[in-house]
Amino acid sequence: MRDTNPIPEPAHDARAVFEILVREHADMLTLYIRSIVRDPGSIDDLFQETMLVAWRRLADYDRTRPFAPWLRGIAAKLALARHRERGRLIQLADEATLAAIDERFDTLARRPGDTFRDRIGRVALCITRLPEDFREVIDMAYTRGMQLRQIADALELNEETVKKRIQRARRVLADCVIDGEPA
Amino acid sequence: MSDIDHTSAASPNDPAPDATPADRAAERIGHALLEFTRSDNQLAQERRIAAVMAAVRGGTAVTPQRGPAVVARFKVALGALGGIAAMIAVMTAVVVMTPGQQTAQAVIERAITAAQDAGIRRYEIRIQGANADEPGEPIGTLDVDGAGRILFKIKRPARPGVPLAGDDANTAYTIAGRDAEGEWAIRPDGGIERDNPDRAWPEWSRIAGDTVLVAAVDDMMLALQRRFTLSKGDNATRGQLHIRAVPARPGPLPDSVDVWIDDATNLVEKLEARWSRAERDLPDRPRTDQTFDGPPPRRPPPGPDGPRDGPRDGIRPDGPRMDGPRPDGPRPDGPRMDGPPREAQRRRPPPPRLIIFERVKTPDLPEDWFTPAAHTNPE
Repeated sequence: MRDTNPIPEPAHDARAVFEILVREHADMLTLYIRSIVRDPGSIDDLFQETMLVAWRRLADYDRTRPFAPWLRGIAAKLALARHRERGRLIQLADEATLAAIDERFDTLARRPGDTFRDRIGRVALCITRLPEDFREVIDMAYTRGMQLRQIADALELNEETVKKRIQRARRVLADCVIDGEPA
Repeated sequence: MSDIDHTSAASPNDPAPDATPADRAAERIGHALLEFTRSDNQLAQERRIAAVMAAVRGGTAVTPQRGPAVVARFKVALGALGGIAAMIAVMTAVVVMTPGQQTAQAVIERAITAAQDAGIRRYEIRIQGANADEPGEPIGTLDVDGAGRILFKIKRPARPGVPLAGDDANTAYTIAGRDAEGEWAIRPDGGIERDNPDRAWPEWSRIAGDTVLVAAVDDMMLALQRRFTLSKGDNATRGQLHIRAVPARPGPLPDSVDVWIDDATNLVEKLEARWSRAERDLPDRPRTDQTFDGPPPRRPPPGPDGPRDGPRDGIRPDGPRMDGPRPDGPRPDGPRMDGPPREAQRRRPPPPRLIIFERVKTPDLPEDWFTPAAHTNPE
C-alpha cells in the first residue's frame, strides 16, 4: 500500500533522533494497537500511520511530557477515524475502556526494566502461573490456533463457557504482567 | 484489509455487558500480550521500523508486508531475539548518501521485502579461511524463511585433525538455528540446547559477539540497509543486480559486502562478505573455556521485579562454541564438546577472508524444519 502524501523534510539530525524514538517505542506502540483494534491486519498500517503522524507533528510535541502517551493518543485518534470509516472491524474499545487501557500502559511504563520488552517480560512466567483450566484454553486458542467450537468440543463445554474462560484468563494474565501479582 | 476470524477463540470477544472499563482494558491487554508474544518477534519489529524510516527518509509511506502466516503461530518468544534491535539501535550508523546510493538502497529494501514472502530459501556456504588462497568446497547450508527463522547445517570433522567428511551418511554435522523462541543448537548427545546455543554457532557467524550480521542472509540485508554505505557495483550479471556495501564506520564489520539480487524476483542470489584487513587487527578478548558435560545451567526465568539476568544489550557472552568447522578448517585441538577445560583464556580466531552464501534449489522440507525437535537425531 502506498501513500503519495509527501512527507516534510526536516533535518537529518531530526531523523536520527526520531529513529531513536521509534525504536524505543515500537514495542509499546505495537502492543497498544493490538489492545485497541480488532483487526490484526490493520496493525502494520496503524503502526506506520501513527509513527508518520508523529514525525510530521514532532514540532508540536511537548518535550516536557512523556513521548509514549502522546504516541498512544495519535494511535487512538487514527483508530477512531478508521472505525468511523470502516465500522467494527477497526475499533472495539469505547472511550472509557480506551482511557483504562491508557492508564494500564502508564502503570506498565513504571515497571522495572530497561526496555518495554523487559517490562512485559513476565508474560511467559504469568502464563505458567495461570490456573490449569485457564492455561489450557489459552494454549488451545493462542498456541494451537483452535476455534472456539473446537475448544468447546475438546473440553466438553459450551462455547459461552469457553469464551468466558478465555476472557478471564486474559484479564488475569494482564494483571499479572502489569501489576506483578501472581496469577 | 484482512477481516477478522470471528470463529477463532483467539480473536477478541465482545466483553460481558457488566464488565467494567478496567476489566475490559485488562482483557484487551491480555489478548494483546498473547498476540504480541507469538507474532511480534524482533525481526517483525525491525521490519516495521525499517518501513517507517524508509518513509521518513524517502518521503513516501510503504506498508511493510507481513511474513508468512506461520509467524502468527509462534509460541512465547519474548526476549529471545531481544538483543538484535538493541544492538542495531546502539550502533546506528551515519550513512553518507552518495549519488546512486538512493537506488542501491531501494534495491536492498526491495530485496528485504521480497524475502518476507519468498518462502524457504537455501544458501550454500563457502568459506575462505584467513590463510587460504581461495574458497573451499561448500561446508554446509543455511536455510532462511524470511520470517526470521534460520537453520545452519554445517559439516564438522569426525575427529580432531581429520578433514571434513564428504556429504554422505557418515558425515557429521553441527546443526543450529533460530526460531521464535531464540537460538538453539543440537547438542552432541542429541539433546536440544537453548540456554547456551551460541557455543554451537560457527565462529564466522558472529561479529562483535553478535550473530546479526552474517548469521543469516536476511539479517545481513537488514544490517546493510542500516550500517553500510551502498552503491551499485560493477559486476552485475544478466538478470542480477550487483550492490556493493562498505561499512559507514570502521569496526569489526566486513570490509566489503557484495550482493547479487535477481532483478525479477528481488531475491538475494549471492552474498559475499570480505575482510581484507580482518578483525585480527583488533585486540584479542579473553574467552572463558566451558565444556558441554551435563545439562548447562538454566537461565533464571524473569524475576518478579524485572527481566531475567544476563546481557540485554545484544552482545553475547563470548564463550567457546560447540564443535564445527572453523574458517580455517578443523580446530587445531579438536572439538570442545567434552572433557575438562584446557585453558582459562583463549584467543578469538580471526575472521575468514571471505564468506560466500549462494542460493541453491530448496528441497522439500518438513513443516517443522526450523524447530530443533526435527533435528534431534540428525545422523
